[in-house]
Amino acid sequence: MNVVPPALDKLIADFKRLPGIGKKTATRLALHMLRRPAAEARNLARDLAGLHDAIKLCSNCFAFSENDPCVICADPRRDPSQVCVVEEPGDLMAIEKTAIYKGQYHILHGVLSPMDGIGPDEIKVAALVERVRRQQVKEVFIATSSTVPGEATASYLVSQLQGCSAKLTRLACGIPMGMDIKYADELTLTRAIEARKTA
Amino acid sequence: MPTHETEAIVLKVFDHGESDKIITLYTEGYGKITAIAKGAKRSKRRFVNKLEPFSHLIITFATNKYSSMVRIDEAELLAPFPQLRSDYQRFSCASLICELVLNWLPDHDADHTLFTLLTWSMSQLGEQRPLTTLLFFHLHLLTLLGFHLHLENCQHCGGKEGPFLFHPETGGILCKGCQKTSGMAAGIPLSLGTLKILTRARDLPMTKWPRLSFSNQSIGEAKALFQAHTSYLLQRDIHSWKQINCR
Ligand SMILES: [Zn+2]
Ligand SMILES: [Zn+2]
Repeated sequence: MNVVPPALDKLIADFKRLPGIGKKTATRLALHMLRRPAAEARNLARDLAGLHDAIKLCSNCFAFSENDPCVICADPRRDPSQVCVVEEPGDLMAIEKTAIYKGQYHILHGVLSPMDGIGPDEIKVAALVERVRRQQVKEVFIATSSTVPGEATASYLVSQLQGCSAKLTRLACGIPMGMDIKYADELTLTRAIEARKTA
Repeated sequence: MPTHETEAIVLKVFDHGESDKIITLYTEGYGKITAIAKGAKRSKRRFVNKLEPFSHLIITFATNKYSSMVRIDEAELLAPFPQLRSDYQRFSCASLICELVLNWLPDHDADHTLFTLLTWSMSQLGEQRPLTTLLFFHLHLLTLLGFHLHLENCQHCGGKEGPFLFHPETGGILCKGCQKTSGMAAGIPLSLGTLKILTRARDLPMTKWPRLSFSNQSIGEAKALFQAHTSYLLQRDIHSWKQINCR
């Protein structure tokens, strides 16, 4: 016999579909919503319902945005001849937090993953190549992760952008800050030595 | 909890929650296992750059009698195979090999020969033509799994005169004449050259493989054969094939 009321059961099932949420957490969240004032649940429902209408993809860089172009692409202080390529919107936010980068972005919305059926056609590669040609981009700064899929994606981008006049740069990878070099693996240390700079 | 140590190749990695990773590996001592690496997404030292697809590792893991998932405690990197990251075709071939092992091998069933074949293939992919290595791997995986390909002569009349067509349902070839009378759907056309090199490659020991060389035509035909045969046997498509370009 199921003692959970159907409406609550349905909400638990909905929460369970969210990334990183299991049955226990879903139940906790659903019960929490139920204990809080009804207005809170209504606000959450309204925000969720309006999400897809309010937020679109910027047609230039594919960032999530309420406007097209997005705030970064529309900002005259951002250099359009410099394009930083990232995997996900979260990566853009991480780079923005440094406040050191003054160019624009291009969001791929994924990395190449053949066994998941994700090839170049499934992420925003063609649009990047087209943009680099059309907008006379001077530098494409590839900031995909230094994981195997991130690096394979970077290599693929380099092969597709070969022959464009833009300079291709890659986010340096090496020893993380605060790490004792004794603990670095050989590949990381090799990259760090290759990417060393004048002190 | 009892702990174990073994060599392993990483087949697939995905993030789990905020800080953990779940990794499927093919190990020398225990076959295919799925493991959780606690704190792997954030730790700077213990796992960084080790639990990556295709990496050859020595892992220490702990088993738990309540779960089929084991816990990785330590990993030592034996070979990261950086060439598999720097070229899309090599990357796709390595992904396909891992996808085959993921879908075809049962958990906890160790096979020393398969482990040797897998590590050999990962290192060869960076050396010679990746598609040739991929075909060797596929051919010998079938043999290890007990699927013998009948490529010597027509399965019906025993004739050695081509042209031949491969039929996934029978795992062998039919001549054009028998194909017509059998009423079977048209199979995958294979030239005599392709049949010859596949038979040779199947019967040669691993150390002699680098001497064989597949023509572009044979690579294309063998790809069509393996793709159709695998889909038939597994009753599902192997996604990575879509990214393998034979040109
Ligand atoms: Zn934009
Ligand atoms: Zn025949």
